[in-house]
Amino acid sequence: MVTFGGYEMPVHYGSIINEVLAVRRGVGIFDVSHMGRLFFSGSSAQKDLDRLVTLNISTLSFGQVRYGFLCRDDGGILDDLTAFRLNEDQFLLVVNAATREKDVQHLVTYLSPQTHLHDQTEETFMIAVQGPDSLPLVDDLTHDATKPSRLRRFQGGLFSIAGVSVWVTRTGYTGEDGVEIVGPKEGAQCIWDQFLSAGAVPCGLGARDILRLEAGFCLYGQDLTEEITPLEADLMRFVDLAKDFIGKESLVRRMEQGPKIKRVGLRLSSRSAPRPHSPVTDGHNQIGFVTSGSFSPHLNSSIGMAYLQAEKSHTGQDVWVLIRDQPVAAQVVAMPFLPLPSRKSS
Amino acid sequence: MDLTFPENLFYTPTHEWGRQDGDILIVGITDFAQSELGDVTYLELPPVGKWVEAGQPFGVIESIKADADLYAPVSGTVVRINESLATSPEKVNLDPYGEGWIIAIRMDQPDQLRSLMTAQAYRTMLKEKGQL
Repeated sequence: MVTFGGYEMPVHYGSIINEVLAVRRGVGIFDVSHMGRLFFSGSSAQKDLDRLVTLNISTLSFGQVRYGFLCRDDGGILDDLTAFRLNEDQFLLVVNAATREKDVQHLVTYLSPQTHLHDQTEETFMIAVQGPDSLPLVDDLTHDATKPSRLRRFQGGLFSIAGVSVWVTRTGYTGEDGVEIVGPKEGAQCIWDQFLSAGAVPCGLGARDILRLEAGFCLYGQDLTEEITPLEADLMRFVDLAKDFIGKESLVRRMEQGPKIKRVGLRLSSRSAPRPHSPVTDGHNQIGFVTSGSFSPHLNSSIGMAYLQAEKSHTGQDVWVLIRDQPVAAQVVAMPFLPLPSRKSS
Repeated sequence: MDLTFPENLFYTPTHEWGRQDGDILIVGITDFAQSELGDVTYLELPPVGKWVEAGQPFGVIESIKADADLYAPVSGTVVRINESLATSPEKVNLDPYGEGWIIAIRMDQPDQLRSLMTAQAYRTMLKEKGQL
């Protein structure tokens, strides 16, 4: 067990590689209850949230989920999150564990008196069921006539699983098809046990980190920080510049100037894994640094994310990653690193 | 799963084992070390002919969750490395005392073996640290 964002969590339940393979080939289950779950309600909730996050809240249909950011005035990323519209004036923001308290402090500053924020992280659980076989399994355990497999990607609804009323969204952090389930914490054990009995493989933080990296998803605190904006992170597609939000002016100005550094994917020629802060060179000078890295069981080589000087960040560029001061050849590649069902190449 | 520590080996406080064969010491990591590291993905090993010093790092072992230094149990010259680990590092997990051996050292001073631990002493050390 390790402490992550203040929660005791398993890094793995046995072999990390076996857990990764289970999610890519079958179905894995993750306890992600450490993620922050912030419920917003009130007639002004939509307007308030639209000012706070980069994604468009007003055009979210009932049951729709979108990914986006909470930014500072200068565009720096305070957190990455998903927003889920539960109904006309109720929303669920899922934020990172380590940033939750900071997020809440920032959010309440901008909420009108009519908007209520309920941090329900402690009263609820969140379980992710991921993998090509996950939807049939979720359907089997759902007691409703309409099954979760009817949901489109990034859509959710209320269902009854193992007798517990839960929100199910067709989302995840692995690049595989699957769902994330939020419900009252009293129901967590029962739902977890039912999925295990049905054959889902329990997976820990270690597998989750490799799966998200293979899918090209960022980890806040490593690949995204307050010093990085969505422009450098190459994630402007999750920023709606047609509306006003905190940080927009700075982002527009930065776009006109062009980013100095850019987030890229690296594929290494070795099985040796780059680690955060490993320098990246063009063979002569340092041109950037690694933010995440791991051995990829699927590619049988190591992969990483890095920020490189923008002019040296194009796909196909040959670079070197310094691992224990020794240069290891790598190439800038498009993400995701694997062809994945839930992601098209970005 | 119970960890095993064969009786005929020498052990270091840094979780390497050594098997004596004349003036050669075959070196690997213990069952405890492999289970702590988890899936081994890569080893950085010295070239054959390199001299290594007792108690000093001679290489690095990477697992899916951590990197760790490998320490030489004795001083001497590397005479063989287990080349097969380059493509099958999982052998260190599957068979740590057999096919997962890492390097062979020709010992300068075989009496250095006397400063290493027996299986029983190694087991006791792990227990005292609360690791077994």
